[in-house]
Amino acid sequence: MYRFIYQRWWKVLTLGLLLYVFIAGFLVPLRPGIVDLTASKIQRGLPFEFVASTYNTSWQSGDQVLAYLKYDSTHVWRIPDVEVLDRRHLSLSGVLPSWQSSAEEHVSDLTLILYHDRDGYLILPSALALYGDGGADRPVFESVLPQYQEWQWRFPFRAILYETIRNTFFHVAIWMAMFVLLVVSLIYSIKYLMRRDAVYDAVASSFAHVAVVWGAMGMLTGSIWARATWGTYWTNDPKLNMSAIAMMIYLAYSILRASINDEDRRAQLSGAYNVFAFIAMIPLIFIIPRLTSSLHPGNGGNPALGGEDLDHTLRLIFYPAIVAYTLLGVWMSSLLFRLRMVEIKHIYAQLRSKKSK
Amino acid sequence: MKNLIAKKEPLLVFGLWAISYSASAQGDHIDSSGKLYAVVACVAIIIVGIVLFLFYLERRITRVESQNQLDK
Repeated sequence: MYRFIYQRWWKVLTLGLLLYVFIAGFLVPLRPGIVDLTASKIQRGLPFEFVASTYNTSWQSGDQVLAYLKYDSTHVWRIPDVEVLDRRHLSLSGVLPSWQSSAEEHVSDLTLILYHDRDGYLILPSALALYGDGGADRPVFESVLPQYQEWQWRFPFRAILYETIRNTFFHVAIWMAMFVLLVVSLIYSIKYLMRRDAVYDAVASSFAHVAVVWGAMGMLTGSIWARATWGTYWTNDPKLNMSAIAMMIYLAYSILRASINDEDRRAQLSGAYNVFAFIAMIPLIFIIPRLTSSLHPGNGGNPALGGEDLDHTLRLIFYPAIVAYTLLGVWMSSLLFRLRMVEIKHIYAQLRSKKSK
Repeated sequence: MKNLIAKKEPLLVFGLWAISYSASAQGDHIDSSGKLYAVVACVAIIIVGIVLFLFYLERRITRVESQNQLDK
């Protein structure tokens, strides 16, 4: 086991993975998307005209852009006139058919869908509020959307997130790596408490220290991401507050270690404290935010990173990113551990020389 | 120090050129509505974090080194 930290192959692997994550994380483009419209509502049976601003598109005049308004899963209406204004703007116009809104009608807005052979689908949910009445009982239109299943090396376009979806690799992955480091730290703390070997304590403390660094980065990157998407550096989101508490608990671990001078007492106390800190962190970060509602995806019920939360292209970089940060953390921890071992040898040598005198 | 900057000047110029070139080459892709600045800031934090760790490590190594010197 301890030979592992002197080997070089996994450090080269770390570098390779980090390069892959940083380069691909920045250079893979977003899929095109719809940013906003000049209209916010649309009336049944009346003509309309509005301009759609799109993101990451390069429309050219003559492009065959298809535009649809989706009422429900079976009723999709094709907008007859689509005109390209420039690379990022389309003018859409036509006359919306009219139908009676029934009492049980749940749909109060229409989804705008754009389609182009090159870019695939661009979707803006709840794009236009629907109002007005008259005409047929049910929606009279039914359109079939073109098939488009080509996989592209592109990140999904999400309103509000835009490019910051890349922070999946620079924020979420950091936290994941921190948990791995904390688990290693916990295992070695338990080992220490069972066998009272100073080497185990050195491993546990090194990993916990680097995990605190990772945690601090996780908080700061999250704060910046929150500013760009939620509009504030910090909010009373349960996940934010709970992870702040968890971080304080681990910060207290570092302070505890720094405040005890006796080697054995420090190892015993901080080992026991580390077990407590880990057990305290689990409900704080993993359970409480899921019981309440949270701005973080996957909270308030369903677990994160499952199903539709994570796109396939994101996974291709997100998983290597977790491995990369974990390995980098192991590398940093191993350096601290080696230094700690030198320090320990030094301390024991001093003690021996004092005794002999 | 002055000498050092003079030596590194071509590097600096190249760096600035590379930044401005990549910004202009991306054209439509970089604009403030895309919020790419938030991603850049996060990466900067990661790098700063790693470098701060290096400073911490250096301080501890220096301490061990100086103790070693005292022993001899």
